[in-house]
Amino acid sequence: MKKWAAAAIAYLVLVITVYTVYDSFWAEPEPMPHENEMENHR
Amino acid sequence: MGGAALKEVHLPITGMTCAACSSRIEKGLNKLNGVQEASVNLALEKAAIKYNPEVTSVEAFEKKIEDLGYAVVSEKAEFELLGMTCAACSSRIEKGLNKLPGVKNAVVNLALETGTVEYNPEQVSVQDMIKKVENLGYHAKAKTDKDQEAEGYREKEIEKQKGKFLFSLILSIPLFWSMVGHFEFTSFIYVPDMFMNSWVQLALAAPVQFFIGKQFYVGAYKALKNKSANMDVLVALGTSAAFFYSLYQSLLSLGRNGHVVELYYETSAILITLIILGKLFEARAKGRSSEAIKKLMGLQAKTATVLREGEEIEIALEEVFDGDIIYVKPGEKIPVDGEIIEGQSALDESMLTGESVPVDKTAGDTVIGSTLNKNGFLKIKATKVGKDTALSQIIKVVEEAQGSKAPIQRIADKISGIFVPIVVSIAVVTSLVWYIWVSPGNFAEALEKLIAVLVIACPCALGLATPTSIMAGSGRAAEYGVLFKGGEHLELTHEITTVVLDKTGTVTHGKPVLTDVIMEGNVEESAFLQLVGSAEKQSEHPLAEAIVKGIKDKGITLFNPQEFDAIPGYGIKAKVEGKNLLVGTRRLMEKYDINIHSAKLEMEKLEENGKTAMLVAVDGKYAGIIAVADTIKETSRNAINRLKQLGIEVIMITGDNKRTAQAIAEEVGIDSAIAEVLPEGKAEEVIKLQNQGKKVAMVGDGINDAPALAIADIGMAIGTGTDVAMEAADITLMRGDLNSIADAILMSKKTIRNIKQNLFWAFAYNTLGIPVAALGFLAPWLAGAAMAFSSVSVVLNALRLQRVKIK
Repeated sequence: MKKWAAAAIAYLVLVITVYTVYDSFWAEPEPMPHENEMENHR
Repeated sequence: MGGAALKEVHLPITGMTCAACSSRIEKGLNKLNGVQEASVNLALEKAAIKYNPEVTSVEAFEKKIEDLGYAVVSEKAEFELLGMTCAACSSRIEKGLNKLPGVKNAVVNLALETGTVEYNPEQVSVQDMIKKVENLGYHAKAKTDKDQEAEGYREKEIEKQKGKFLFSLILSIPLFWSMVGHFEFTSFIYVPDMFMNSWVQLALAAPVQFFIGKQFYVGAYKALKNKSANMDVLVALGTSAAFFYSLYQSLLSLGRNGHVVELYYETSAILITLIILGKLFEARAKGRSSEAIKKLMGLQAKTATVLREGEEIEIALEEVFDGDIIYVKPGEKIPVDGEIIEGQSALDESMLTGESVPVDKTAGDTVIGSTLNKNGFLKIKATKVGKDTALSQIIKVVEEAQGSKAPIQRIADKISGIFVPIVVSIAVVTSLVWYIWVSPGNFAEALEKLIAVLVIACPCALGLATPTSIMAGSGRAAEYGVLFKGGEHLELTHEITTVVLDKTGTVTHGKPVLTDVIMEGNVEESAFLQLVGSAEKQSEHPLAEAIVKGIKDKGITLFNPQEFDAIPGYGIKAKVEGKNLLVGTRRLMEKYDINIHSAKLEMEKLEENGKTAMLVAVDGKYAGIIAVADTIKETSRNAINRLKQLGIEVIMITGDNKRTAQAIAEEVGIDSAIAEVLPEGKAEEVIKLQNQGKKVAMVGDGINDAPALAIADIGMAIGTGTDVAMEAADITLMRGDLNSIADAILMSKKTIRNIKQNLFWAFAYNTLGIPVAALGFLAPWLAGAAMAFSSVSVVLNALRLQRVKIK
């Protein structure tokens, strides 16, 4: 059971790291505002 | 079926997810040529198949089950093998073991001197394998306990599901977090920007969808391949719709910084997480419902001290064979059924009979495996081992009852079989209605409704409702000493209106004692008793045994009769020392034209006191009366009172004459007694009562009760009685105590009530859930939670039966 949890956490950390690296170097600055998104979802 | 004897086999099956699966396997097996009846129990994960061994075989069933997309679980046994010298030996053992019916694969390792056998425990036992190896000229010793193996399999499966749940939970939390931000009432909660990114969401949802959710795809594929649909199809359809629609949106957003509005990655991931959680709870609860069996198995001794080649050695229980001489020290459990050949002791048999007073046993007496030797050293010869012991038989009965189907379940099975296609149709219609009329052109909303309907409608709760209750109910009943042979009997028992009790051995102890001797004329008592005792010596009737014992206790030696003839229902006819003797009822005397006028008064007096008086005639002339009396069980009066309070009519049936019957009936509080019934007449009396519209339960213990037990709506055999009676009966009352009748009826009532509650909730849940989801009041993830909750609630409700008190 611990192995499964460790694997999931490791994968999560990997995804976060990749995103953070991508976000700091290549991403364009303006994300879509939250309010609009919530509105659309509703 | 070609007139061949039918065989029955039980196969443990893995891979079933809902009632649709079990009904599919059932249909598949029933279609096989040579199968008379197959029934699959979802909760127990077992198939029971009655088949003609000349037409089909277990291998064919296994193949069919595998073709349908499921697997037959086999157990593994490991052996230490001694005496092998070369590769020819190991291959000989391997071949020999592989030839045994039920053995799937046997592998022998010469270097390690071990053997591993994969087998079906229902067909072949570890003992059979050891015997086979010994026959081939080698020695084998079992290394593992099969119960631990089976237990290990379930435990491993639960551990794996736990791991999967944790994995998908950890990846679903960020997705859930992103969802929280969508709602107005939770919009104040901070959501990291990264979790709103569609590619991050995809990265988190994909392993859950395809790695953890693989089991649903595999299940769905197997089901569809066989042209049917099950819960996996619904889950796979629902979650895939959410996932792939989101993926499509993500791809459309390429070059738009990864932020997309209509994403449902969280829906698919959370759904899978919740469904796995539900399955985990279900698996744990299922494990608990077989506790009764575990408790029974726990009664067994693990080892036995046997005499082998002049030495006393301690061996595993699996290695004990018939005829082995076993030593049992005080305080130890008797390992197998056997006969005492030396020593005497008091045995505590309460675990099987409920009788708390230890029973004194000496050489020649039989002992039952798993009972406790209190104070003496015993040398026993094993007579029944392995599957044949009394305890193993009890375990088998309980297992079969737990695995059998109650008629009430057939409705649920039928419904869940056609449920999935109907649900898929409803879901498609719902989404079309939303897309065309309610919210024209809004595909996202239509999709949401489709997913919600697909998920809420899984018929898992419906499939589990009955079998879990039957398992828990029959298991709990077994703890009270009531063994139901099948689910149908558990269901029918609560409808009983009339209980017919056999007198001897049921209301009374069935062990009468000699009370009175009355002689005609000036005959010496000892000479009279010597003749009567010698005549009765060969009779197996309990009354005869009491007479012989009473006479022997007076120190009178008996002759062997020259001729002996038992006339059932009348008495006996014998020739002793050249004298012709008749011992029996008035009818016997009438049959042989014996004048018994002078005995009339004495007879009446004895009978009024509840004694059984037998007339004796020597050489065609009335010679005297010999009377015995049976003692009433201490618990009978209270037990009959309990039945009356339940509104049940109690009738006593006996071969005794009216006066004796009436005296005993009055003593225990029975209002009605049917007397002077010949053994074959008992069944007729039961039919008469049934013709009056009554639902009759017959309770008896003897061979002569067997027809009545079989014909009654419910036959209950007293467990201390004969094997024949137990075979003919639907319920065995292990504790020779009549209170068990009320216990059985109450347990049946409680189980049926529990099943009805479960079915009500399961039906209500599905029938209410679908319109609620179709109308758009249920978010897909809530539908998933509700579905998981429904299965768990049904199982938990059934488990309440395990703690039920019926006294």
